[in-house]
Amino acid sequence: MAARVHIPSMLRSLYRTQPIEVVEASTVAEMAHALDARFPGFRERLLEPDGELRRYVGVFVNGEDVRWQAEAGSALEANAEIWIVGNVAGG
Amino acid sequence: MTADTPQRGDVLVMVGTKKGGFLFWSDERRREWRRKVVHAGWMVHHMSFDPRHQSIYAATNGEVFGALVQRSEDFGETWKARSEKLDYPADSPHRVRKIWHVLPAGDGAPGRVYAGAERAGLFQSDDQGETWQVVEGLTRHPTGEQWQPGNGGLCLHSIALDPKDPNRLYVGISAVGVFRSDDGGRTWATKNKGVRADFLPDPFPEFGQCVHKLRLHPSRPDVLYQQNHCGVYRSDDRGDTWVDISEGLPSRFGFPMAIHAYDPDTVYVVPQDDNRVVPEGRMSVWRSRDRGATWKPMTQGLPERAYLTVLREAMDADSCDRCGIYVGSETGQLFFSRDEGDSWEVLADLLPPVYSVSTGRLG
Repeated sequence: MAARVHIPSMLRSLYRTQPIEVVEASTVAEMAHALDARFPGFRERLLEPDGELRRYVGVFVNGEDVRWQAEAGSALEANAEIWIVGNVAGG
Repeated sequence: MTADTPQRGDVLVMVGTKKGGFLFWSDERRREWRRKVVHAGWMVHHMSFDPRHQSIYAATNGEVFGALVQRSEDFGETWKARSEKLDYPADSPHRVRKIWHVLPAGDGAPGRVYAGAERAGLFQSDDQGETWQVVEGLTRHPTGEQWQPGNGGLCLHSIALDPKDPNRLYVGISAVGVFRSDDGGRTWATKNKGVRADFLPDPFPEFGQCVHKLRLHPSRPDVLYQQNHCGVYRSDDRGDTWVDISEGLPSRFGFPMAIHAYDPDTVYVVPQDDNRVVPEGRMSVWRSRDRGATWKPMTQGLPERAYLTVLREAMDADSCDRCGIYVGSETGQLFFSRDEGDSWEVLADLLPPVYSVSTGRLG
């Protein structure tokens, strides 16, 4: 199912994406793979080798932080609105 | 190419900082420098020029989106950021947190690039950094689970390749020491005999030495130099034994080390005191013309009342006829000499903290 993914500026410039990319995915992990197919290397910016989200990568689906759900395995509803957010830390 | 890109014969100085990278270039007179900012928002621990492809590799690191090696084929206008599998396998207890060093291999291995990582490991790419694999022989070294970090982390920060023998590689790891492979990376041996580790109960252990920078000169690759936490050393036998060459320096401690482009007997260090700043607030680059037997401070043009720190990767030499030396400080100054260290000028100031300085020459 289609999901709209809001790409943070660092990844936008790194992979020359659009501000919002529309992908077909039913989980957060599938979203990462779909973006990787379009922008090789993208998946590893979000996920560790074991498939879990990087420690300081936040993913919000329809406003909900997936860390309180199934993290990378979190299911996506149709027309999900996804924000990838770098955690704010330090100065 | 436009006037705003380097031209054939230009000297390229690549500066990695805590807040992005900077490319400086000039013709061989080195009187007028142009600059370009690259990788804004990323920590840039190191950059390397690849003369085989006239490309630049950058080790870029971020707390959020991780560590990767990027490659530019147009002098920093655009970068390729695929860098896949530059991490330990999923079932490994280790994860790559930073890339500290990136080094293209020689002519005999087209497309090959090496990267040194934290948690300490060596990675190899055979497709110009598009995909990577860990050099397992080093990761699985019998001492591996006993490696301890230095103050900067458990990082593989130095890679040296023998141009006369493509199977011979050296790495330097803090605070573990020097390793050598004679079979292309399949097996590795510790090479720390004669190097002190004054902070350990046994001051001459097999491993545990805190090498800060390891250097090899391509014209005499059997000779190695290292600036260590506990002195400056030279090896004349490919690392089998080391000789302490610290005598005459104001401090045994320092981070960077460089070798003259054409004279493998001429080496440079920046001694620093126990507080990690230059002794007595006097910025000095020390030069030896005789392989470390004697040392002289090079101060002309360098500041006094300057409590500077120069990190391990922040000094390099260029390949102009009169060799240039470049030194970056943690307080954002980039000094350079166009006369082998005799006199110095400021190439740039007010940069972010400088992590690395490296040079290239456009063919």
